[in-house]
Amino acid sequence: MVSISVQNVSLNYPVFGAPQIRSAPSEEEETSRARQFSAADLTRVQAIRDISFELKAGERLGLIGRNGSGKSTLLRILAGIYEPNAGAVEVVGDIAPLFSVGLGTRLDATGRRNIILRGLLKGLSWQEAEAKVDEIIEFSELGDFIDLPIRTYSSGMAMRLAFSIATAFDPQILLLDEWIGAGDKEFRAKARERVQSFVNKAGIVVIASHNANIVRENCNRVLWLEYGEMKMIGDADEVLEAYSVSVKGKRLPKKKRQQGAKSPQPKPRHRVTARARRNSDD
Amino acid sequence: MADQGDAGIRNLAMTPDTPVYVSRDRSFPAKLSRAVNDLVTGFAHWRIWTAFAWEDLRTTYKRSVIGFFWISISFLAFVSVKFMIFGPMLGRENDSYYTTYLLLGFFSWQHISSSVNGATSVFVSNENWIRNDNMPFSLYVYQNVTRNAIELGFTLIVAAGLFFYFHGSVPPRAYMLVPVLLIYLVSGVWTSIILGIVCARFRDLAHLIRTIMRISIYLTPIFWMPEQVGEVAEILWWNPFMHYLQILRGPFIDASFAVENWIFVLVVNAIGITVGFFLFALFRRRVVFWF
Repeated sequence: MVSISVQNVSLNYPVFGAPQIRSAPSEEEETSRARQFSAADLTRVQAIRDISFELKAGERLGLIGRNGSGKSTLLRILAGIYEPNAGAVEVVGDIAPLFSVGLGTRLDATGRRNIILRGLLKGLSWQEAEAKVDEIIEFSELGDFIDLPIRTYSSGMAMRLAFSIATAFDPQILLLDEWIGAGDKEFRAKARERVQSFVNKAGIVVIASHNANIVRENCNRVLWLEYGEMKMIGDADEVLEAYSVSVKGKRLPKKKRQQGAKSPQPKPRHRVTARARRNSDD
Repeated sequence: MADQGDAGIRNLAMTPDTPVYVSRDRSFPAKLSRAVNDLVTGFAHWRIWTAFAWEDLRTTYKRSVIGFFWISISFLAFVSVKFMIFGPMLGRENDSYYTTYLLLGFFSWQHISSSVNGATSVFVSNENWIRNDNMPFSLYVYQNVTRNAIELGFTLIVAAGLFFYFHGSVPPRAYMLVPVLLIYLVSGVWTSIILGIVCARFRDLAHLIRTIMRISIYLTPIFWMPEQVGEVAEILWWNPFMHYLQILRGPFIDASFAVENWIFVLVVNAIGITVGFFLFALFRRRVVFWF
């Protein structure tokens, strides 16, 4: 039975080559994700703090939160790429990750070759992998481009290919990072349909996005992350409602300022992280 | 715990209900058993690492007409020039002992130096995959060793051809090539693990090692013979590359088994395998944070 179990998971990791921050953390920094652990004299990022949830077959979880809130990091923990420092993760089922364009591909190899390489990764033989090629060409609408190096693709084409490959080898768990939003309208509709049929076959989908609409369209449960912590988890509509109120609330101070009210200092979302986490977010 | 890997692809012991990824037990024995699982599962997926190794070579020689044979051509050109320069310099231009010595020494050196240099970037050059897929880390190690083995094959064609040209016959102990090449591959595995991990963490080391390899071509008896350097030879006895060269050259140049050199190489391997295994068990999962 396909399932994901996450119990009290925390992750902090060192960032090398980042400027060393030696000042004592203020109260504000204390709650922010980026923190200096003076003992190690290294910049460490507290990416995820004490997260727990369970997913069963057929569930679609949306991870929502602002940039740098830990969505992508949590996805990578589920994918088994980041090993958490504390807590337990258990994943039953074959995982198909879709993080960003270019990852998990060879840019100098043709689309066809990349399909075969991904097929081999799934434990297929060369012939079995090759048998999937036509289906993938059709879904990705790449046509003759399939025999050109991926390097020559537009980002839309690369995205379509990556999505088609990830969903073609019958995975049971799909991890998507800001993916459905990319591409043109028609492909988006097609992709949504495929995700839906995938869930109907008792798969699990986890989608990370800061776009509430994408999450609303694709998910039935939502986990709202803030500074790497669980702010809220539950029914999609409920959590998204609370999230959008909070996002709008953040914009209010401007008006208040005009009325002469004291504006709260915007909280730093991620100090060191913006530089350090490069493409792990967005 | 034996059937629970932390690599995202299934090993042979897994049923569909076995978790593909578990992160719970952070004890030392669990880490060791997962490292074994990684090495075994990775090896079982030989299709991936052989495909990746060929893909590396295809990328290097893409759009080239001669393609992989550039490896052979470049080796042939290098050896020929060395014969032309060093033969007359040492007054041994027609000496088949010296030409064989130089040919086999350089054949061996070419492989050692490209293995060591390649080992420094085993994980760094696969960042693209490590950040996307939870695969056994040993895949990248086997990929690197396989790529070096293929390159070795292309230079072996030239080395064997030249050997026949000089001697016209196969020496009686030519079968010794099999264990020698086998130990080269095993050494490739642990050097890839050790250097791959430490060079990902400490970026200066890759540059340091490249510098050491550049110097070592002169500190290793490839063009010269240990007798020619007098007392310095005693210090250079500690150069492990010398022993790797001698176990290959011995059977061909003076029909010796190079016992002393074999002992040295085997001891180095025992140390390397141990250190490599513990580094692999303790740090391979940290590599993703070091990019």
